[in-house]
Amino acid sequence: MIQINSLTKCFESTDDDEIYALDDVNFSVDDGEFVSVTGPSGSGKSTLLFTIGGLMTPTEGEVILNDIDIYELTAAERARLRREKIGFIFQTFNLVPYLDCIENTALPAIMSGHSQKDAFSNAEKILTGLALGHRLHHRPMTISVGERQRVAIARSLINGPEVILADEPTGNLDPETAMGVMDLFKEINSEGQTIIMVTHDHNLAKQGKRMIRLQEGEIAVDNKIAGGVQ
Amino acid sequence: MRIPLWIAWKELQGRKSRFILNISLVALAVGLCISMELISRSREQAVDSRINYMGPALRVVPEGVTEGMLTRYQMSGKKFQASFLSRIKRKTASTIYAIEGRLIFKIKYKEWPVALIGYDRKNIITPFKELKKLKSGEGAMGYELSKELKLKAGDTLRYGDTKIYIKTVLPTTGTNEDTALFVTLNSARDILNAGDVLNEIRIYPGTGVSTEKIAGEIAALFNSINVIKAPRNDITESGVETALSSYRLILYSFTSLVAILTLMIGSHINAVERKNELATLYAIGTTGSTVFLTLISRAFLVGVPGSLAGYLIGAVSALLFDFNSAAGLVWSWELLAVTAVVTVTATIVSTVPASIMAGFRNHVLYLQEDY
Repeated sequence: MIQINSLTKCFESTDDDEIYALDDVNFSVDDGEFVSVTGPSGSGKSTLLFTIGGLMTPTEGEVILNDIDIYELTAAERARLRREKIGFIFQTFNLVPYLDCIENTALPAIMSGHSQKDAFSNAEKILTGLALGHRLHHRPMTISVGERQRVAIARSLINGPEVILADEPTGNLDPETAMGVMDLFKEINSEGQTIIMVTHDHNLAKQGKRMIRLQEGEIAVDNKIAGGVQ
Repeated sequence: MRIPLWIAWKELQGRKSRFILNISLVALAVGLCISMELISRSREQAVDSRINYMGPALRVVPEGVTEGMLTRYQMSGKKFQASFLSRIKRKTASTIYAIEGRLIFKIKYKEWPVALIGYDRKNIITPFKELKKLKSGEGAMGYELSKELKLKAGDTLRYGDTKIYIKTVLPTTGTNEDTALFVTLNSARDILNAGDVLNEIRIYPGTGVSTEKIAGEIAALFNSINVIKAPRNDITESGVETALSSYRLILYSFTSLVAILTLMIGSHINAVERKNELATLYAIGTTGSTVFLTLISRAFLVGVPGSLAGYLIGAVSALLFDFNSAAGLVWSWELLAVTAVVTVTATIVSTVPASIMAGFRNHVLYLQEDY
């Protein structure tokens, strides 16, 4: 379970003004939820995601993951938490260009101390499950964008995370491929995986079980979605 | 270090042309320095060989000892205090290439008179490296003496209570030194039960310095001495050597500076170019320190083959320049080890600023950038 309490993130602008990307945000995410975070550009969606993911220290408030305030941890402990409890998926896929698909997928497991043999074996299983068994030793630049995003999803799953944080995961995909990725998310979620997905696309946001709409750093709407993924 | 090294290795494997370019830069810089070093060493060796061949221009011995007596090692009982050498050194410091003191005397071994030469290991001018390594209680036997006494390396020469372990038999030089036994100065003094004394001071003047002038200066300094002049030219080329040494230091500094600056620029470009990728590594669970170490590991992986390739380039170019002189010098483990350590250290140090910048910057800013 993730608990967000009074989360505030303030940036200083060049003319000494303070810009509140997040302003006293409160909500919680239960295990197995699929939460879509939506809102216009500059509403604080990505800031919220990076703050939940332990990448951006908030100005105020706390992010509690399994009863641990992640910003009370040291940098090394937080890195371990990102490695083992959180799976990140980005709009630009963010695959390491010189590693092939299996190495990209296995990377978080290798960083967690698993042997290369175990990490590669596990990565192969996940990639094969995502219909990428024929792309194991291809580099990211040699596969399609849809396949790249599936490799990124495989990478996020390798350590069995508590939550997957996806930042505009379909932003660089054509509509058909985007729907394929959404179907994959629904399938993963149906197996009990918690997902928090940021998207500016209202139709995609409706694919989740719950939608949070941010407006100028504050929660404007927080609704369960009728007919969302079951 | 396993993970940073693995990531760095994969990156270099994945970007082979860049890897080769980086190694080439290091190798060329190292190659230039190594070729210069080897050529300089071969020149120095040539100068040393010439000096060895010619022998010292001046030999200062106690009064009454003539050149003929010195050749037969028939020294009188007179000796100098060791401070005598220091005073000559002070007086002639700017004009001499080298100076060394010896204590020469004879002992009887199985009725054979044996000439012992006690020499200063640090300052001896000799083509034989073994003499520089001899320890107290050890001796290096001249070729002819070894044949006469039927002693070989590994045997022990006993003289009263004294034992001298024959460490080596020297190759023939065709001089009277073939009939002597070399021991360290301290060993010689112990055998003779003498204090801090010498009875021969060998002086090698520098380039263009008049032997007559130095002989005159020394004779004016002390009484009760005889200065023996050798029939040779007053040239030892120390000036050439000094100039070469100074020049190569400037060349090394300049080459290193250019290489380090180029590597710094290259590592900065690398860190900037890879900001999305390094931010991704950070996001998926590395720390800033691991990102830092990944870039340092990369420098290490460039530095090691770069130094070895550079050594090879330097050795080959030195051999092409002067095969005969360089052939005996190119395979030096000591030079190779120093080259590897210095190169890898310089490569790593030149990468540190960019690695700190890349490791500890705000990675979140670059996560959403495409590449």
